[in-house]
Amino acid sequence: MDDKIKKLIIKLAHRFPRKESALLPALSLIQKRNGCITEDDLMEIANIMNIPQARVFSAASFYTMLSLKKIGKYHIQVCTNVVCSLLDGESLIDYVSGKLGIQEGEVTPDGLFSIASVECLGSCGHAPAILINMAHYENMDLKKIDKIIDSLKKGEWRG
Amino acid sequence: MTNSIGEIENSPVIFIIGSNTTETHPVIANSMKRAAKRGSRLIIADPRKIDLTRWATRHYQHKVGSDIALLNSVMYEIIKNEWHDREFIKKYTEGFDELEKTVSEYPPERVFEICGIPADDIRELAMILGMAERVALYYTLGITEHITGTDNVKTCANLQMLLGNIGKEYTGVNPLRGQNNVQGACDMGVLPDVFTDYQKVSNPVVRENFARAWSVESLPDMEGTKIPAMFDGMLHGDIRALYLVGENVIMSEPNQSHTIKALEQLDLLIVQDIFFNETAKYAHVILPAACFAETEGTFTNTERRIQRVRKAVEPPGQAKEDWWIISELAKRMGYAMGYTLTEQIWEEIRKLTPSMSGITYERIEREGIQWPCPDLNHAGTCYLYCDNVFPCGKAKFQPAQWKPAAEVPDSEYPFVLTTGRRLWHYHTGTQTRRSAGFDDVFPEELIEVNGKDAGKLDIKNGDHIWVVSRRGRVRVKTWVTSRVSPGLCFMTFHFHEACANVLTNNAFDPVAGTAEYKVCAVRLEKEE
Amino acid sequence: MKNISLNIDGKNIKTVERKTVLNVARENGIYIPTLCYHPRTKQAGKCRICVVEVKGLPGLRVSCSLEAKDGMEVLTNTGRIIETRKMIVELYLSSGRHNCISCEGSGTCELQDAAYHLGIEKSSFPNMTKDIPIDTSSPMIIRDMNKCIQCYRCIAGCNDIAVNEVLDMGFRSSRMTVVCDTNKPMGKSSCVICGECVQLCPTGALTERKSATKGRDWETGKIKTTCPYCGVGCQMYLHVRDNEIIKVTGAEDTAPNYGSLCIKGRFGYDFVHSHERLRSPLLRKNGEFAEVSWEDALDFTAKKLLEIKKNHGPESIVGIGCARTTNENNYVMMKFMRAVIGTNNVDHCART
Repeated sequence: MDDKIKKLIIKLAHRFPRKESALLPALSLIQKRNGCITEDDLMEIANIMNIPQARVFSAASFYTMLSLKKIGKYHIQVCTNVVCSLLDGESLIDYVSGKLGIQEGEVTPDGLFSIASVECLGSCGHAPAILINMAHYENMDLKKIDKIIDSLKKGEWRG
Repeated sequence: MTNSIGEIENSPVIFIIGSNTTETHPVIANSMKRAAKRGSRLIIADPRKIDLTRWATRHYQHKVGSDIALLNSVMYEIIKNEWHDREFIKKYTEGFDELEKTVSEYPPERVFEICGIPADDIRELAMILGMAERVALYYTLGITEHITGTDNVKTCANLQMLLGNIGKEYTGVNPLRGQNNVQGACDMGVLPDVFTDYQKVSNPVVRENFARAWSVESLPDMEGTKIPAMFDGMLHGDIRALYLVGENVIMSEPNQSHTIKALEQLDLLIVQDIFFNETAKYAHVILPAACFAETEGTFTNTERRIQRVRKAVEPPGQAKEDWWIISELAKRMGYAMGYTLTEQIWEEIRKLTPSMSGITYERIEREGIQWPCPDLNHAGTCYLYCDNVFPCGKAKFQPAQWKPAAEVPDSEYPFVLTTGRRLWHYHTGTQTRRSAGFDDVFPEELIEVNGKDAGKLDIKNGDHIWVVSRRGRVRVKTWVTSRVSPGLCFMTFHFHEACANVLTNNAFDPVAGTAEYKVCAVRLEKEE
Repeated sequence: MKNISLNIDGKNIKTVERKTVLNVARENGIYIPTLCYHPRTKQAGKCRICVVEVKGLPGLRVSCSLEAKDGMEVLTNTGRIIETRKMIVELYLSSGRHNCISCEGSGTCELQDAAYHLGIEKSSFPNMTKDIPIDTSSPMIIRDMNKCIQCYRCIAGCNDIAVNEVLDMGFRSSRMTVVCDTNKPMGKSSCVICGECVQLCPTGALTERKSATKGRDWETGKIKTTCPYCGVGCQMYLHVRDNEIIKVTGAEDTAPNYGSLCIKGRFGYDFVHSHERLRSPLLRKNGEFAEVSWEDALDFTAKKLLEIKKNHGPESIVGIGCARTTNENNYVMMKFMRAVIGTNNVDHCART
């Protein structure tokens, strides 16, 4: 963990009556800055907040928006809950997987893309849904996803 | 312990000085950690950053051997701020004026020079302890294993008396005893000056009582020799025979070469043990004993709880219970003890030991009872001095002056070596090192050295180095860690391959005869 | 505390308030299966197998988390309850590799008990689980996560009883599993091997490594005794089979430890059976130790002691007792030195 992030986390921890309360803000800070949370980060947070390492790991591994492995610049999360699955959301994963040549949890060699299946994204009314970084897409189909991925490849990301 | 283990969890303030509780008394440490988690204040004074500090409210890292100065200074501040319990002091104690006079010489600014804790931190510690309604004080060998061990203990007692923290739940002066039955061995009178229940051998009424019970004409009135003097006596030729039951003195006594020389002078060394340990090599006769799982009887724990020990397996080969061996020897020397069961022995103990009269095997079948338990209807005693009745009438303050350790670092031996135990092994390792898995967890001795010192000496973590004192040298692997502060090193005596007691100083406390295991001066040499 | 009375399975029961329905039932000999509940980790409300019906309350209630109230009418054994329990146990059986044949937990396994009492031979759900590698990295504990039922008892033991704070639940949904520190193997984690988790585990997910294949619960005798290590005096059971201690567990119903032990107490027992134990008296003859009979050893020692006493007086003899052995042994030692030798030269390691 670099000193700059460490300082920010210590500052965060002091904003709460109990340092532990800064756990999620600290984890998302690291996620945002570094794209993933390393084991070293987890241990450092435990140390700063004087909480068990296992508790930090528990939180970090629970939330799908936090990643313990390196993810791509564009992290494509596909909802696999009931409604999205009924509307063929699962084939979206296979399709993207084929298109990018990577499996779930892997990163493309150029570091641009990674894929993950996630729990409900809260868009059951407009299923199937996907999330790319913080951008939310609904009523997805294969054509739409092609378009998005192509624009991402060209660097025409509109967020 | 004046108080009980069960109280720890609900104590509002727990003050631990000189006890590495998570490693030496792990199950008691569990209670302390639980207390800390539910909001008790856990205050630690220890020269090392022990594991328990992770759960502590405050950790004061004073220098090894500065306990009296630190506590006197805390009392200075308590009196100055009038945090002491005047009513308790007036009603139940004597000698307060003397204490006040003594501690007046310990203002925090001066004590900073001795113990290395900034004056404001000493004031803070005084405030935490002084303002608390109740404080329970716990200590272990960090307090006692000094040439000023007795004074250290008295100073702990002074502090608790000053605050009125005696005779109530969640208070007390609580030494955590190291061995399973060290409390019991003391209670049983395996000491040179007392019979069971600390009845003085110098008291003719007591002697007569025991002589009658044992059907002997008379019993010796002269106080016997304490362990350190025993070894000196062997060297001088006054002591010719040593009957050693279950002690590996070569590993456990300070200054190993001194111990060996003493043993070599003996006409008769009887070693009664469960293993052929390092000391057995010097024996003339070795008697194989049964271990805890092969015998019936009782142990007394640190909170004075007498608990049953039960036979689970047969001893190996011809090994026999200690009491059988001793009574067979007695028989051959013309004295028939006539025991066939340990319960008979206990019944005899009970009759001669007023504080345990009410404890029978039957009563402790399910759960142990804490002495004093004077009669069969008494439930036992969770905490001593209830209603502030003390055996000596009023409790007496016994102020003590700080003095430096017998051996302090100098240019030739610039480091302080302090010794202790690790979670993973027990004492001289005769048991844990013969149990599978323990050497996998912690295979060899490590000397804890601070990173700054290691840097200066160009020692890396894991390097083997020589540790040299005026009494010997050992080769040991280094653990570079901030657990110790600069200038301080830490070792144990679990490993015969690198035993700290080759190095330790056999200077001892004049009253208790406890050696200064906690301080000696060493130098660290890189291996060529 | 206020007295209350309630009715469980038609039986009128008098008790006091602030108890759970589960505890009241158990105190009165009524069997309600549990998996996640343990008296020491308290109610967890996780496994839902302890469900009961309460008149006037909708649905099934979780008895480990339900406070017993005055006038309550509770049923623990209706068809609906049994069906629900069966389904829960079958789901558990299908979500792990629960094979009793060579499982160390067999005989003390609470899942096995529940399945037995409910008459479940085989789960009717397909088993979709993958084999999880067994964690054998700890020198004392084997962790087989295929047998974990996520009752959280080990986590509660590690965090709330022993407060070593090594274990917690990691990941989520079907990947959920107990982790050590940052998901390290147990042997590489900060685990201090107190074994609290092993003692609390209801199945065979956490077992004592040294006890493996040495004998199952019903084959062993259990002798309650006091730990031979430090001064805490923990109460424990020695599990004995064929004159061999094969396992140690903490005694949960007595002071001072209420079930907790440390690595030494729980796992440091096999020195008792070390081949290095002294088996015979030894006499030094010409610098070598020779095995002799008790008669010879005792005769020699007594003769020699008498001789020294005669020539140099009783003060030339000293005895060192033992803070490791029993009160009875120490008393006899003290008596021997004073009454037989005639000296107060007796001491022990209290000062060292």
